[in-house]
Amino acid sequence: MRPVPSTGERLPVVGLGSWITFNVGYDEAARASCAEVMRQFFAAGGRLIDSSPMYGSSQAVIGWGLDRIGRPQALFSADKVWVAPASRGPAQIEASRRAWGVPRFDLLQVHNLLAWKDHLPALVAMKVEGRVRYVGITTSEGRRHGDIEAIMRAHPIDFVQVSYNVLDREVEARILPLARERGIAVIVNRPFRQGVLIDAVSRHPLPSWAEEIGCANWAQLLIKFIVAHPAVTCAIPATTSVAHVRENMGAAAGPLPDEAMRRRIIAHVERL
Amino acid sequence: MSEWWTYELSDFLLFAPRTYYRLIELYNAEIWPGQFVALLAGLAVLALLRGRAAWQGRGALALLAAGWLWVAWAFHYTRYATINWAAVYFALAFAVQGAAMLALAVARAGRPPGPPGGLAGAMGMALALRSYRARAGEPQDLAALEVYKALALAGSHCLDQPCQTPVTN
Repeated sequence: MRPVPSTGERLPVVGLGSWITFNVGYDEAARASCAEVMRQFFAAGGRLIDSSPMYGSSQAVIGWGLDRIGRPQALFSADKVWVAPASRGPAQIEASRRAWGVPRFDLLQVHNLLAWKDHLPALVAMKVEGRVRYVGITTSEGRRHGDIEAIMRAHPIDFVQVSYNVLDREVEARILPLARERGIAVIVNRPFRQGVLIDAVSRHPLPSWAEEIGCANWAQLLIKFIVAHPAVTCAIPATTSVAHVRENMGAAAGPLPDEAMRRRIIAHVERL
Repeated sequence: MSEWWTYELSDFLLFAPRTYYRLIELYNAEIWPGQFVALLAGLAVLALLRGRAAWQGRGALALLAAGWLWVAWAFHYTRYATINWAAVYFALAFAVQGAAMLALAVARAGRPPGPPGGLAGAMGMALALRSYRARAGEPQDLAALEVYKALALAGSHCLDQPCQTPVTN
């Protein structure tokens, strides 16, 4: 568990993303599979689920799944606003809220900084009015880091969401240290490079020393590398597989790698 | 979109290849046995194109228009849009094309335009072949399929151009 710096509320270090994986439309069988992933996620102690109006039917599938599994009280709902002009933001947020079936979101983020100069003040106003608990901004795959930094320095945000994994470590230089300095929680997306990274490393045996930090599989090693960074609040791997969500949640247990071990993980993966 | 050049084609895919194929599978199951109607309509278009009478050209265009409008509504708007918000625009484009063909069938009695040639045809064929590979399940191939469909819309012959084989009224 890690505290959200702005309140001290504690969140599990492994959350659940929904990009691509939960966009299954009205396919009942696929929806049921997503609901089972969510059930296992909560059963393993998970809380934060992240989505966006950009993700097709993912929000509706999450809402459908929450109904199916009895709407766990532990849910920490993280969604985004992604529309321009920003005057359409309130209507989009309301549509998202109805799709999830929640009274309010725990976290609302400006997706990929789209129209952020207008959206962010509106989200902050919602927070003041008690209509959302936290506000944040997101980016992915290293885009617009200069803008992200500038916003982190100048605006009262609770969360920042960035891409970070054992091979994509650009945020280590400035954004993660800045998050610690400013007391901003960090959500990490693309922990497996959208599956490409874990597919690549899984062709090789797990190094024997992974046991030293309680890793039984590659997913746990890759996630532990991320959440071991002291600035990171949680990583949000996405999956359609119950087996994979169990593996991912396993990364929240046991020891985390120290800095020497993290360097060892980098060196090993880069050699593969 | 800022820094658009940093995006790859597959970044615009919102769904897994398996989800797309399930969509097609469920769509075909739901419209069964409508596939036979489509097959008969296709054969009818071919038969009509063999004739040179005005009504035959009109009939072929009307059947094609019906096909376009069906795809706009039954596939893009009703089903594909559930996993891809851009499909609403595909539906609109298909509907506009269908309406244009219908208008041409009524007003000008032209014949359906032939396939594009030259560079446009070659590009279309390349993308079509790439999209055919999408059965292998690679996201970039599925993305190529989407581009092919978009180019097919944009690159098909303009219906207000004179027909290459005009029909005598």
